[in-house]
Amino acid sequence: MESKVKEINIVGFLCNWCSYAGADMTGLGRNIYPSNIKVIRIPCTGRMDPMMIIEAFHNGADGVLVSGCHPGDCHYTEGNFYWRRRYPHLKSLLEHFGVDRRRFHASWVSASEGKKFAEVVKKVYAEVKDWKDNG
Amino acid sequence: MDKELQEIIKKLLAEKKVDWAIGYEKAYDELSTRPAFVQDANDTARLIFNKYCINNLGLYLTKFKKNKLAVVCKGCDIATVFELIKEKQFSRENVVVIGVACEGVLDKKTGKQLEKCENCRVKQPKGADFTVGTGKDSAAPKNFLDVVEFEKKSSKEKAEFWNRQFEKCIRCYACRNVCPVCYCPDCFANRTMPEYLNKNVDAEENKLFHMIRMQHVFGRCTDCKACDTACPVNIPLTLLTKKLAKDAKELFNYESGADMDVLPPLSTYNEADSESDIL
Ligand code: SF4
Ligand code: SF4
Repeated sequence: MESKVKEINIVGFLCNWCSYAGADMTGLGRNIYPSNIKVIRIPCTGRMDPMMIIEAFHNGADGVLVSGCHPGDCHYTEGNFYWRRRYPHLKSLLEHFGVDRRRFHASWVSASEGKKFAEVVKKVYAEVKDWKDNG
Repeated sequence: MDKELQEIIKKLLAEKKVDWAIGYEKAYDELSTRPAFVQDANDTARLIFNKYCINNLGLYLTKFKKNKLAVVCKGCDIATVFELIKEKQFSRENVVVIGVACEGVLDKKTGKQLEKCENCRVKQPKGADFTVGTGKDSAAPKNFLDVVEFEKKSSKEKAEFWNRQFEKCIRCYACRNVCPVCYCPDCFANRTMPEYLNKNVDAEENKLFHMIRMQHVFGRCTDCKACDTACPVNIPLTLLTKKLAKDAKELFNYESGADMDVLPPLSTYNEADSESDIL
């Protein structure tokens, strides 16, 4: 039980077309990454309602990662361009309310970048852990 | 000045150019004013403007959607009107903006001028259809010193600060209800399916409400201070709305209500937008 309490929880919102498939690829390629990430599939980062991110932190998530297609590769052409504007603003606003910058991240991971997905999760985990351990 | 204002409105009403005129009238004591809604050209004598006219009457645009309106606006309130027109909440043809020159408004509780008036650059209103009086703009631009100071705190200190503040919040929703850009008829705070916000009033839920509300008004909030002034328990909402203004400016070079031709920052994108922080 003790170790469970201390466990780090990261919510990963991954877009259906690139990053979710990329995460699948990570498993297929037998890449090792922290299992602390709990994945929620979203249609597109353009659909990423900031409210859900705020709710995730409110409900106790230690970290949040939003990942989508590289700019120019969006299945819906421009969804990730909208997301790319929401992200810096939301990060700054969350920080203003006291949600540390190390807890909220975004990445571009394509369907073929299984290796990159593992790297991203490792990085996010390290940042969240640093926040949790060192405040 | 009041006379001139009354004459303009009288003419507009008499000539049936507008259905309603919204301005200010004296309320229960010398220091109090309230919104006045005038429909009859012979009823304009009660309209006034003075340094206690703190309300942002742009609020009523979304409530009188089907009417032609004349609205009395301080320079800062015009930003609200323009923002709402940009958001297609009202059409420019249906509103006559009557700008009033303003020397700054006072908080009647403290007798002090509102902080936003210190470096005001629209004491002489800009973009109005009629203008009454002449005002002298401040030479210095708006500053964000208090926000910059707050940003220096650690995230832990920030969280503690807000938790303290939101313990006071009674979730009366006055801040939302006076906000001219919080016009959704179906606010997330009221929704029950799904229930985004628990109806319990405690610091955590209150904070959630404010975080989401601030996100929703980002790039639209004109930092008019209506919410800050309305709050019955003195929560420094201005520290949040000024942060929004600062971020809109720094991240997207956007100033709410300033330029009619530029879309709010989250309603558009630029292929060259920065992505320095994306992994
Ligand atoms: S006006 Fe003040 S007390 Fe009322 S909901 Fe807003 S912050 Fe809370
Ligand atoms: S300052 Fe407050 S009331 Fe005015 S637009 Fe911004 S959030 Fe709304």
